[in-house]
Amino acid sequence: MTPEQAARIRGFETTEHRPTLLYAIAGLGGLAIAVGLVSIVAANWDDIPGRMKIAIDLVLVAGLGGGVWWLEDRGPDWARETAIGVLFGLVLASIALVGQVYQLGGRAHEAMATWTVLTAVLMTRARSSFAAVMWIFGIQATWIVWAVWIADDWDAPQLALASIYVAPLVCLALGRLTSIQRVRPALANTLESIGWSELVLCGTFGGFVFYTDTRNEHFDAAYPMIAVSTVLTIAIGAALLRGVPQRVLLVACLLLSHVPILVSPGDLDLLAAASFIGLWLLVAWAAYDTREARLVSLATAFAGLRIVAIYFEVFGTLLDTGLALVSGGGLTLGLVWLWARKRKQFERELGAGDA
Amino acid sequence: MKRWTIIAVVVPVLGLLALVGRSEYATRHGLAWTIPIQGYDPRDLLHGHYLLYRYRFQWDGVDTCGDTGAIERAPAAGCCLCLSSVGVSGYDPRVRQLHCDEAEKICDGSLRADSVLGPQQYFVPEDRALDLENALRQREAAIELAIDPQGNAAVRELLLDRRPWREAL
Repeated sequence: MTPEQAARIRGFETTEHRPTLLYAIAGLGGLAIAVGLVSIVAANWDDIPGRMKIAIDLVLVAGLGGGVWWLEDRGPDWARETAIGVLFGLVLASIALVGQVYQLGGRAHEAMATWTVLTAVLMTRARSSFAAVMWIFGIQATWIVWAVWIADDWDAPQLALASIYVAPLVCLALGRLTSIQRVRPALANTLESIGWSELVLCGTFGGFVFYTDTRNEHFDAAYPMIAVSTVLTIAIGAALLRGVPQRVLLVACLLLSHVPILVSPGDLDLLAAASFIGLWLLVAWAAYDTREARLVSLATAFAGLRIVAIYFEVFGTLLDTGLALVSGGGLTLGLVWLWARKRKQFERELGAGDA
Repeated sequence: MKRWTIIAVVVPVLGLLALVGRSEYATRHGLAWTIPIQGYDPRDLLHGHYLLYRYRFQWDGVDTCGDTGAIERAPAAGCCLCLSSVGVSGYDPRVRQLHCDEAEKICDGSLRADSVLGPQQYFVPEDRALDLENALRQREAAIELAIDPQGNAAVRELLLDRRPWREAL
């Protein structure tokens, strides 16, 4: 058995036997409490003196921390995960409260960085996918706030924009590390899922840039960050991914996310469509390779929808449009027939258990 | 494993305590100066739950740091504002811009320009926001700062007609 197969089995065992609905409802409750606390802080209620508010808040943080500690051994697991999630949100609300009471001036990037540092060890104690999603999106939000600060204060918007692509690459790399897969399988699975999703999203939106002329834009400042992304892509592809389809998909995401922005002369409608279809067919290929039947269906459906959308953007006059719609309709029906047939074939090949 | 859980829940508490302690120290220590302010956008003073403002410095004397040739003088990153008292109250001091090492030696007070760059925020309670917005249009507003020996500023209070805004409203 390969380490990858072992990690998948471990991930399945640790996630699939949990009461998903209970976790979802408890997670939503925890999220509602965390957002509510932030909202209460934002209201800046004046009837309680500032220092009293901070004292109450610190008692809450300590009490909830005690609850996490108490639930660590005694459980139930869903209560521990919810308490960790609420504490994660409460720490952010507490930092905002200190900022309000002492009028620290709203330096959001510093507040977010403080939040990320203070809660880093806490979130490593969580074991559920829900807590993993909260943590990863929290860190990515911090990353984005810093990117905005770099764009404004360093006057380097291109560098900041290019840095966004590094975040999902780091997620993917961490998710593929066997050390994390062994200790926190839910976190590793979530990191990999979010990493891949965001990389494909970047590639998808990158392809749309073919419609725009970017030759007069100056992206020199972005080159260092593009170099970082390229090195990370090569390292992940060489050391952490196994199948050829995943490696090809990773490189395609890198190219589509950057090349159009750097060199597009604009009005490349067909290339934009072809890049979209090509990317999503690569997703289908990679999903087929990893036996993800539902993702194969989803990816091929996206590619098919994009083919249909081409009719509405390529043709101009009424006659052109009419002819195109008639021939395009026939082509669409042909594609649907082919897709349905291949989909059934894929599902047979991948087995009913995955479908 | 339990040890890591203890660390996990203690770190946020200690971090928040440190944040509070540092902020408390900054507002209680340092020299007090009061600088008049104006709304960053006079048509829209309050953005949600905070007042967006900028300092209205009483520029006087010659700048030796920043854009010294600029017609409209403004704080520049990396420089220090040299504060000279007018009277004894520390209210609305005369200001010029110098290199920080120079400002620390010769000025009554030295304020790092970085801490007053761009729009500033002052958080206000949502149920008092409308009253405060109206008052800001009609009265003289100022911010009382505590400035430490390194030139870092901590906001102490928003003043209306030289009184804390909660008393003035």
